[in-house]
Amino acid sequence: MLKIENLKASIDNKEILKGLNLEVKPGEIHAIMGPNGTGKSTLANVITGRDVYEISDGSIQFTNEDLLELDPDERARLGIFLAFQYPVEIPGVTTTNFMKAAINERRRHQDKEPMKASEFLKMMKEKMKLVDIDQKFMSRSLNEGFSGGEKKRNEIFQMAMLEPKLAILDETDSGLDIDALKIVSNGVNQLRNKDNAFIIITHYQRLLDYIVPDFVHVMYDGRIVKSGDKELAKELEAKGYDWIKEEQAV
Amino acid sequence: MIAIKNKYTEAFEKLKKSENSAEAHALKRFQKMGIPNRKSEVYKYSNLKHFKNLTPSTEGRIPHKLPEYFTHQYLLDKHLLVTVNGVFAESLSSYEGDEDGIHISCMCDARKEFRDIVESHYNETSTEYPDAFSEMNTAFAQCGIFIYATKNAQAKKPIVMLHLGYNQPKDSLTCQRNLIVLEQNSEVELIEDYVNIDKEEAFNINHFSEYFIKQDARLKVNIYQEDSNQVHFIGNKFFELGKGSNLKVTTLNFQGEFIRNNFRVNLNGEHGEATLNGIFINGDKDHTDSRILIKHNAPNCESFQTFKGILDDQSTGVFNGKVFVAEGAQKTNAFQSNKNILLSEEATINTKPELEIYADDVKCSHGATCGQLDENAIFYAQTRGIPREKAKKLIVFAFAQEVIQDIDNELFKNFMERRLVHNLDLAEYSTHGSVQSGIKE
Repeated sequence: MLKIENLKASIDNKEILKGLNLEVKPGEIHAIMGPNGTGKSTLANVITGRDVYEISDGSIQFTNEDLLELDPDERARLGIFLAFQYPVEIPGVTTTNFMKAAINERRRHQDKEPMKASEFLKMMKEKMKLVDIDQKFMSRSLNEGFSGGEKKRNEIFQMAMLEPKLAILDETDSGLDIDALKIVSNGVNQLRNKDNAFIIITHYQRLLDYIVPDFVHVMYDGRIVKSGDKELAKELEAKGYDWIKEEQAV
Repeated sequence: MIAIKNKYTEAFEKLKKSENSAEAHALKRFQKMGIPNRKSEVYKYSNLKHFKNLTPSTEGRIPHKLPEYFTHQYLLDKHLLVTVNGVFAESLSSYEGDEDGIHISCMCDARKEFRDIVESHYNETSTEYPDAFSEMNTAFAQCGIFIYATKNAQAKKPIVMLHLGYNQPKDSLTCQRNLIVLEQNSEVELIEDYVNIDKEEAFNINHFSEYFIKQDARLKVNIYQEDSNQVHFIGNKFFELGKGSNLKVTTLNFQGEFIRNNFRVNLNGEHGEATLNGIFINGDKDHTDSRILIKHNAPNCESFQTFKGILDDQSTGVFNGKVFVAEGAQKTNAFQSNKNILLSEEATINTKPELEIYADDVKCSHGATCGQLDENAIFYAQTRGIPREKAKKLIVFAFAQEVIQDIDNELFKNFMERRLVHNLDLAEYSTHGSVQSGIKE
């Protein structure tokens, strides 16, 4: 589904990704862990098409398309979704209208009529239930005045609405209390199936107690330096990242 | 200089006013001032060259032939007052006279039937800060609209003032003049709509309205102008507020070639409240200049200003909002905000919020921002599959919505939302179904 080869990306002439390789197949959940500043969020941004990064080498293939040739919205319509680490507030745009625009835009590109209002509302209700989000948030400005936990839940709600093939969760667990964490995880677990895939970027093993990954990767200095199964996450939790750094220094 | 003076004097002679009339004195004052140039602080960012070539119209009557449509759909139940080139057109208007204690007539009739009211209010607001255009207006005023709400009167329906421009000579300037007086505890809602029937024709207006809002009276004014290619508009609107009175003005300017709005509000009695909101959307070389002066002359008054601008292409905008707090006007609460979005690198906005305070127990805040669209927000929308251009429009729409959402009249608000959707080409995202607006399509 997703195949990243030797990816190198820089910002302001500073190389952040230094030859990264990753392959994700349908039905898989990959966790990416690692210390601060190793390029985890950069990877999420580069996959989704943020244009502040310069790609100097490598490739990203997604369902046989060359992602690097596409605009962010084209990538999104192919089925890539990013749950933001810091969801953006858009004053005046309600979550409802935002989702309506997103869904109808996708349908327009599939030569389909806009979704019927009744159908849309039914879908909204269903997905709201999934992340236990209140109706009142739907008619409020997107993310404006939302608490950290509410913003993250709203991200998962949007993910549920858009039903992506590949969802990237960028530190969705940071700033969440245990109840919110359970709700978010539950949402992800209900959405996962054999045809979609998830990349979960996190600092902590905690989230992985609820969303069990098939693979755990450790990122350090712009590369994936270690891969394993869920046991690797536990090892990292117990021992920290210093041993990885030491290993790399050798 | 002499030639310019002669042009006005010649035109004035056609009106056959006596040398000692108020009009003649106003003309003298105007001639002394002349059309302001760029050195004038008050018109620093608005080039008035166009107005120098115009002569005030002295036609004084409505044109013989007029197109046969005047059905605006945004309000079904209304009093409709139509002016054509500044002259009240009784035959095109439909209103119930004297309903609910609201008297409506043309200014000429009012001068006879409501002589005392007119004499004690007409032109009373223009002496404090002389302005060339208000003086010119007084000299050349056409027979405009007079609205008088008696004590405790409540207009059950909004009063729509549809100001039409039709078949004006290219070099003529319409001096439109209205007087609105609300007696104690009365309530009126106005919608002022400016329409150039033939968009390619000249539409030159020097508009001057005076509004008196007496003790505990409440006035709402919604001002709307859209897509008038040839519009050159100077609007002076002066408001006098009594004790406990309330004023709310919302101004919506969509793509006008040259718009200058000059609002002056005097809060003269305790516990008065004035809200002035505005939004403009400019493209091409459009120019919109809003100048606001709110004077807190009495204690315990509140004023709120929210003005927004959206500028594309090579358009320009000016905001100059000033709050003046007089000595002794304690417990004043004044808020002022001006926000602008620049969609092109060639668009320009000049913004100058001002405070002048002579009391020590007041709460005043002001702020101005101008900037490009938030790239984070655009990217966020793109990651949901919304193309970049659409994402921008969605954000701009939301930016403008803040002003429109604050309109109290639901029907007018919905109409404005549809106009916004139309202007930003966002029909498919509209929550209000298809765009329909009557004569503007």
